[in-house]
Amino acid sequence: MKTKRRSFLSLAAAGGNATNAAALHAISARGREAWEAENGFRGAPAFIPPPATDEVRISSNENPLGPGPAAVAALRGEYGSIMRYPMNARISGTDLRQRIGEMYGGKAANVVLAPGSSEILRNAVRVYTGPDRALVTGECSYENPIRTAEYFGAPVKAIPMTGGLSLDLEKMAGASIGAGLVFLCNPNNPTGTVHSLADVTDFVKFVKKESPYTAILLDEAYYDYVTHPSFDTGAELAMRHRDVFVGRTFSKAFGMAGLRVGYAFGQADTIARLAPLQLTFGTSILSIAAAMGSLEDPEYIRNEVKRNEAARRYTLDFFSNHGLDPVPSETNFVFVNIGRPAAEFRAACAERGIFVGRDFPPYEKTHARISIGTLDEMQRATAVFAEVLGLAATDNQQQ
Amino acid sequence: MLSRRRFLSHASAGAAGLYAATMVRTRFREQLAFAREMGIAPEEAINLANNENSLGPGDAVMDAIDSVIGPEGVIAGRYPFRFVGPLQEAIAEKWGVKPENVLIGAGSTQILVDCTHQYASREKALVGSLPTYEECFGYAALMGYRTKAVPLTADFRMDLDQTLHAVKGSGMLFYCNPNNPVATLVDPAEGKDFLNRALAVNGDLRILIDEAYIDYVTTPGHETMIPMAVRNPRLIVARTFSKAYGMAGLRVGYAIAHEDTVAELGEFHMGNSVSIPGLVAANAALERDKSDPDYLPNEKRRNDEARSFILKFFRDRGLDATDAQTNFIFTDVGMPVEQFQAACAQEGVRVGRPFPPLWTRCRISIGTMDEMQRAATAFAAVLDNAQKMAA
Repeated sequence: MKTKRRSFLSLAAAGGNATNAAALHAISARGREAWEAENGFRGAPAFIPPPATDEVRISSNENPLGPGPAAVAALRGEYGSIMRYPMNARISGTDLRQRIGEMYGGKAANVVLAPGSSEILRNAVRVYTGPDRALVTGECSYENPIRTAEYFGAPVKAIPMTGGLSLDLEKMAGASIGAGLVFLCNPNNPTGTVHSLADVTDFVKFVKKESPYTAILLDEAYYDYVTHPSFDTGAELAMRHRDVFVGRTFSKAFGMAGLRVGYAFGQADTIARLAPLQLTFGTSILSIAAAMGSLEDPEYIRNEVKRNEAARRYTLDFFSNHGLDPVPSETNFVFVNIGRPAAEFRAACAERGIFVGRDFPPYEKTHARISIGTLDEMQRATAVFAEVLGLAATDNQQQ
Repeated sequence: MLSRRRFLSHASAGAAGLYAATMVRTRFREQLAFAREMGIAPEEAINLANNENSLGPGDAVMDAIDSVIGPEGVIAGRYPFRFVGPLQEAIAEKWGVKPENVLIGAGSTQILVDCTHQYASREKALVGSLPTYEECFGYAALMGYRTKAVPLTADFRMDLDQTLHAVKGSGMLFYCNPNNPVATLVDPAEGKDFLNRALAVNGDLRILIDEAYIDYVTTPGHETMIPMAVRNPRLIVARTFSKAYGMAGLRVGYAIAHEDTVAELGEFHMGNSVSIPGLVAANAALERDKSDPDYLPNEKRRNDEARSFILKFFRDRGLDATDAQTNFIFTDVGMPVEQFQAACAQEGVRVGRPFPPLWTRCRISIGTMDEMQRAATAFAAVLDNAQKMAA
């Protein structure tokens, strides 16, 4: 740990001006459809036809099976409260906050809800960055915080990825000194890489020691899908350090992207800084009930993780067996070097009913992000990938 | 452009200012939760505190929700963006406008915040009546924006003359008509003329017209400002599915405005904020408006009957209630509203929170006729008891 701390320190000066203008430009130039895929409507309305039944949608890192039976039952159980505002529903937002708080040894005051974790990310940037308080993030990480910082005019330090397409924690730590907010997406979207709890702990300790007023958002949207044994939640770090907080969502393994529920967990004082900016009653009562129900059925999540792992293994093997180089994934998507522009690949796949992820600068000329659907969907998808990429279809049959 | 990109800055707002602003929002929420804290189960209590529609959204909407959820809820795993376009189209069709004139929000609340953020600032005040619905003023306080609150006239109506003065040099007027919490309506003959004059005295002014309660207006001649807003980029109309449509829990509202204004609001607007059940339910409600054109008028009539009943109850007791055009009334209760509220809660009836500075007046939502009759019995007991104590 001492070595690591010294290396963080030595990089402090170099990391300070690592803003990557090219990445920002590419992101702001991204197409409307790509933006909407993860962020929905913005400005001019868009019309997207309802999905055809034979389509394979592996573009938005969704759980193809949706929520478990306990969640769906809880949602239905709340039908009678639809006319009521959320504080009057049978299960209120406070009930859900209390339940989530207890999972981490905290209380309702340690949790703020949001309609998806997007609002957490956005409000974190609004609260903690400013014209002289930069956002520190990875060059190829979830873009929502960068977009918010750009909109509000805060400087962005987007630190280039390591050779293995991981977040460069040492350089990010260096850049964090004097910054307003560090966005640490772990596991990282879109590259699928993960950092151990030990490394994240070192990172947080370093930043909070060298730059006590810098906030850290540990985005754990894909927490449930991680199978690497060194990984664990940073919730304890959030409880221990001021302005360190964990972002979570029910949109991924819990299968509720359509219900819009996410949350942040941290010290009560930290949560109190984030809470005033939240939309008043942003989360619907059916969604609150479904989230509550889902927490009573951990077995469903365990099965979903196993299911995802098998389909992920199949997909990773498909690419490896064909000589391609997928980034080892700890999530419900894979990021793979296809050796050609993602846009080209995406268009060719779309013609064949397979919808894969948008561009992810600065790797949009070489890499595609492919979400993990059901095993059946991945078998259909990989057949199309083989065709589109001109790969022999035989190798995969042997694995 | 830059002026709209405002930081929530601890440094510039000052620690005390931020603290005060936070308290405004926190207290608002706590008051909303008042009745819940009284420990009354929702099933047992009559909730007349939050201007909800006790009857809910109706079978057509419930069927639509249940059918999109399906037996296994699979669709809930998908992001909602695919359902946004169809709802925009349905709203546009209802009002004879283009989908580009429509912005969908998590309740009209999100629209109110979007507009306040975009059009008020530390320099350009937010103007509204005192009292009015607090959302815009709450956000302005949080952000440290200038605010101008214009007291109501003696009969609890918006003071149009004073408002005309206040909008000079200001950024945005929040024009809540009918006005929550006082339930009154601007005279239909004066409304449009007032809006035009306000736009004329301040060439930069934006006006947010909150029509949350318009479906309950019974004053002849009152009409929506949607056609005017679509033509004029400086007007925005906010609507909600939380009131007459009976789906407050699903959090769906929208703005209708000129397409340039919708695009401008879209810069700050957080997308994907409404759930799939919410989007589908709103769409189904609009579909029903077409197949069953009597649905909303019937809801208005039902509300009017229950409203007339409870207005008569208070007026018969010599208590002055305003000319309610909403699914709530605003009445003198002859005692501090917090005392009335607590006493009613003991009787199992939840009534509205205090609306400073009108400390002896209470906002009471309209439930079903049966609920209002039971509530009237409780109110009679509370008022009689207070009289006895005074005697």
